[in-house]
Amino acid sequence: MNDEQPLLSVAGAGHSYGDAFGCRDVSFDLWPGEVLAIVGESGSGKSTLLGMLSQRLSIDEGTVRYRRSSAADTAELVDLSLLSEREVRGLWRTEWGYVHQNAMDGLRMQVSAGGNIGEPLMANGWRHYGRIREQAEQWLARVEIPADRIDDAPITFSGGMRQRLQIARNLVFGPRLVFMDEPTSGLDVSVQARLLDLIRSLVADLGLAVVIVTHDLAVARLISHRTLVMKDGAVIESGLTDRVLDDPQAAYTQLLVSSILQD
Amino acid sequence: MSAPRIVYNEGYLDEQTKRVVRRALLKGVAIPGFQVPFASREVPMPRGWGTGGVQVTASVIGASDTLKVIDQGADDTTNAVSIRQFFEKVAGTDSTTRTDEATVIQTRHRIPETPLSDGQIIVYQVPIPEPLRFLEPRETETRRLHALEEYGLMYVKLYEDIARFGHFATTYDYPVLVNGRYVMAPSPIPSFDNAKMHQSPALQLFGAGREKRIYAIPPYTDVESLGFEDFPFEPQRFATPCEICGSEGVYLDEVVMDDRGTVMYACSDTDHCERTAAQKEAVL
Repeated sequence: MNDEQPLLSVAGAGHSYGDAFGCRDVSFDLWPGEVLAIVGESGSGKSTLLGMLSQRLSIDEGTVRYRRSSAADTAELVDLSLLSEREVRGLWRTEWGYVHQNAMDGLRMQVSAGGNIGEPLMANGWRHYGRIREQAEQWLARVEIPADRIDDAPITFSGGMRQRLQIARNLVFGPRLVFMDEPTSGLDVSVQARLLDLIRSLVADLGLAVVIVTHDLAVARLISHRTLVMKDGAVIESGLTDRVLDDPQAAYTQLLVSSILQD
Repeated sequence: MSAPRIVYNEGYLDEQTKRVVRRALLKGVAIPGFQVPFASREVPMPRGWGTGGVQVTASVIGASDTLKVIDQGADDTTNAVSIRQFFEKVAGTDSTTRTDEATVIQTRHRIPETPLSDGQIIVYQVPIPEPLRFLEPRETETRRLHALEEYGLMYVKLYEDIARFGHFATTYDYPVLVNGRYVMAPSPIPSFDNAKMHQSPALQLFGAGREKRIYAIPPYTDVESLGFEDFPFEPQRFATPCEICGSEGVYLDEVVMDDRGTVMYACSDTDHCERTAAQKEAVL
């Protein structure tokens, strides 16, 4: 792998809803193996930014460039807005994971856990039932779901299990970059802690690059290397997570940090 | 005094409508397995009773044709009889129950046991043309999946079958890959009949009236039933022969004989059964 180049390079990018920009003038580089947190209050454009990076929303100004592993020249950064739909979906299938806030958006609720994990493999051309099943079993174990639940549909799972299943489904095909949209909100605190632990260890084991959106500064603190702080669609501060949270420069970040309930 | 008789255009549909349907058919033939949208019309039967098939038949049939209509393999069911009479009246066609004498065969749920031949057209009545429908409810998305040839989802259904039942439990409307490109729903024929679609010398046309889709398989086209490498497609098999004519290797219906649960297995294809039984009698 060529580590001289960032995996993702964003320059002055923005997405507009009609005349109004949901996020604007965002620039940063993401390196292989790096975890980047995007924090901010609701309505600050975090999810819009994530949607734009993952090509679910259009890039209306600026550029987002990505280094594909499939490209002949792996050092070359390709402008995502120039890719065809087929190529973008190819990236979704083979190189990018996307973990939704609500597991129901990212899973097929009526299809068994094994089928949910197997689907990305089958989408990538796996046609051997035994091998698909084997992978599904391995991944259930990795995300701490009992093996005997493999044929149960996620509709019968608890919130935490659903979220872990969604993570397994997004990692099974070996992506290089994973987008996570508030993966832990909506879960109770002990489940949240366990899930964060799991995400942290998987990300470290697999050397994944992650962009994680969260409104919870504690989540950012726990798993990210770098943090972007957003407000009104703009990035107002960025830097190493510890630096941003311990020594916030922007007035809004100071407010955000000081508004955490202290114990 | 009797009321003046209504005079219908040949084949019931007006010429412009037939043209619309024929265009869709031509496109369907040019892109085997691709679902072509068309402006489905009202015909004098309720949707779900084969309106798609009737419109396709009406667009390809003429006075020189001989029509056979089967419903679950039988020529003598209400729907089959009334569709046959309908075309006798509005298109002046001859009708037959013999597969080898028919030029156009409209069918629901079966492909005849007698092998089809060059020049024959078989028209299928299709309730749900989209093979991905039950896994992906959005039409915009399924079309995109077809366009980009992303058929992973179809295998999820097969995976679920094996995980749950240990074998393919889908025994009808079993998905096929046409000409190596499009995954297609073969209408609710039993998976037993899937093999008959492969390299068939007949032209196969599919009409879904309610869903407003037409698709086709031209003669001599590859039609492959989907499966896994370690779980290949297995059509249904029958242990016993037909109890009326003694045929083996045919699709059988279970017929309940009395109130005590006695059942009998007999050919679902009535034409095949009658002729085999008659041949046996002649030999004796």
